Amino acid sequence: MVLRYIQPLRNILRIFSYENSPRQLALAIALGTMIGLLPKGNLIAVGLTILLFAVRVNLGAGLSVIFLVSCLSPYLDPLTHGLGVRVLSHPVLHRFLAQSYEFPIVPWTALNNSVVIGALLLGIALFYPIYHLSESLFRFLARRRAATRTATADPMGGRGA
Amino acid sequence: MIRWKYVVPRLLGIAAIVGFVCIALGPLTRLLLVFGGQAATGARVDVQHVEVDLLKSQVTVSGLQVADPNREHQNLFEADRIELDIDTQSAFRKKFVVHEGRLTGLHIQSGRTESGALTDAAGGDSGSVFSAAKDRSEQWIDSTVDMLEQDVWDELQTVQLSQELRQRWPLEYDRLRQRAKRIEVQGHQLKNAVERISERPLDNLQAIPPTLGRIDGLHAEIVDAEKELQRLSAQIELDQSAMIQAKQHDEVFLREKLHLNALDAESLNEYLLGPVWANRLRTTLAWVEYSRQITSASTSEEIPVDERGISVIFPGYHASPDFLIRRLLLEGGGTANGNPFAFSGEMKHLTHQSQRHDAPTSLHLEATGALRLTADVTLDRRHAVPQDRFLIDIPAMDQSEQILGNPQKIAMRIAPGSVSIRADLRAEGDELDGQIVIEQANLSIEPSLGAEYARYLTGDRLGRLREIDRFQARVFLVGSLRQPRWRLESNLGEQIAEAVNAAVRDELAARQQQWMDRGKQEADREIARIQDQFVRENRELLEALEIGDAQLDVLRQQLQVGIDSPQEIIGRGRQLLDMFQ
Repeated sequence: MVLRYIQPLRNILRIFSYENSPRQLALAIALGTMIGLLPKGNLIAVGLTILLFAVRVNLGAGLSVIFLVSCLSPYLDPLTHGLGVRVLSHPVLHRFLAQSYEFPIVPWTALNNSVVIGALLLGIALFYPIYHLSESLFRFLARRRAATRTATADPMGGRGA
Repeated sequence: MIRWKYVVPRLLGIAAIVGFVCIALGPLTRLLLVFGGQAATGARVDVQHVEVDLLKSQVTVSGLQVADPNREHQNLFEADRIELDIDTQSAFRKKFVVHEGRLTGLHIQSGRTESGALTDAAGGDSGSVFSAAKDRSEQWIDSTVDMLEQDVWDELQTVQLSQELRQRWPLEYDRLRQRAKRIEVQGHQLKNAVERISERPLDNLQAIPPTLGRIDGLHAEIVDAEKELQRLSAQIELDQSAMIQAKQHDEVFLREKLHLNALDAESLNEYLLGPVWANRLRTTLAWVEYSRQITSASTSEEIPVDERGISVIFPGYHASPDFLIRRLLLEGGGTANGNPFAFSGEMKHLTHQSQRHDAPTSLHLEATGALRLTADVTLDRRHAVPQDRFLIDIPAMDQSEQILGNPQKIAMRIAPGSVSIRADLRAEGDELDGQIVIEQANLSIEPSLGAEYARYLTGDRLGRLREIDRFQARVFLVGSLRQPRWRLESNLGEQIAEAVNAAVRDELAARQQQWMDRGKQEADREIARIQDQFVRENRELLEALEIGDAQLDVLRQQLQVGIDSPQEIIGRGRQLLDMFQ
């Protein structure tokens, strides 16, 4: 009876340990990096966080990366700010953003902030490399673990018969 | 087919987040109000409860207290309830715009049980400009009392001369008396010597010439003493003329010593009305400064510098304030001289970014009850230089009994009455300009004097003050908000100054005459005494000297008649020798 009520809680906790395929882990790390780079308190950060929760990725890895990158991101501000200023100074992008700002919700994205737009672009640029590298790493680790497990399950290497 | 195992936990997670936001939004907004308010006012801000209704887009704040940064145990204002209807369209554009708000149970300058000071707040000095004027008048009053109380007796030349004469003349008489005594003694000695010579002339033959010499010497002494008496007689006349000069000097001296510059009406106005109006003006200026604080966050539309990076304002993008209250209905009350009054009004276009808004912040208030008031305040921050205007009209305000001034010195007791106040203040940038007109008809005024003053100024001397039946004062404010200067004009100060000046002038003239009379009496008494003594002493001395002189003549004759000349004595001696031969 009690187990029925705590089942949802167990389900919530499971999402931190489930979805641990190399692809899901790599996606969580790439998304987490992107969110971590962004200053919080704007709609882009909120939207990406919702996305992280919505897609089938490893939440534990994602949230851990968000925390770590958030701690480091202020040190990257000179880079993101410089990038953001270049983008905001570009006539076409500037005009596009100015027109976008007339629409509701858009002002909440804080895309007029140099660090926000710079961090977003840096996150987008780093997304695939991080995803690719981490997926390769996790695949390598998965293979190694599978090999270790196989070795542990059959110590004679199938030569006993 | 829906994979419930995947969807349910995520839905639950989102529901938990939304639930947390709904529950925490109120306390979070409360914290935001408290810390934001404290940062803006520099004093404690208390909020009892905040309720945020996202569906109705309404925020309700209960039990708001904003402490006065200048008075520890007083609130700048408190409100029972504030209801704000948020514009959702603006919220989508990241703007906090209140369509209409209702602020009820507003009390201005209410008391508070706990201290409203923040622990790290530094206290400011805002009253120095007002105390200076009060000090100036108090100094005048103190100097008046000092002047009336001062003892100039020893400084009068007539008194000094009298004292000198009192010391000098007895010495002169003593010297003369001693001289007369000496002459008398010498006369007696000579008499004895002459008698001795007369009895045995031959034995004292050698003593005759010195005795004759002593008689001549004593005679010269007597002549000299008589001359001294004549000199003293002349000295009396010199002393009399010196006394006349001393009297003239004393007149001038007393006139200068007891001269007091007339108390000017302006100083007296400041002395009487300064302490009362300094507080009111300080409060008014504190409100002006407070209004500046809440409405002037950014003065230009340059790129704002954020904590991280810069936020660009796009050209063409409709710049509107991030925080705006379009209309806020106000309702509250208070007490004026212990009597309740209620007020209502509305505030429009309240924002901290006026340059992004097309209308200035305005406030209209109307009060009824014990305080009838109409106030129109315009706070225009749309331009580079902030412009504020405060128009306040109080046609009638009940005023309890007032004591103007310092009861320990001079004070005016004003009976309860009705006062009208009109204020028109402008603040352009930091410059302040304006005036406040105060009027009170059917005035009843009673002068009150401190013990020190009452000794000199009787109530009768200030009696004409009771005839003042109307009070009108104008307070002119200039200078800057940080260092305001003021000038006070009032018919009260002018009339009271006139009465006080007349009273003080009369009293000083009376004191001057009093001192003059005392000096004259002293001088006359001393001169008369000297003259009496001189006449008496002169007679006695002259008699003594005349007697001495007459005796000398007798002695000389006696010596010359009773004793022959030395040739005759020598001749007689020769005859005796011849007889023996």
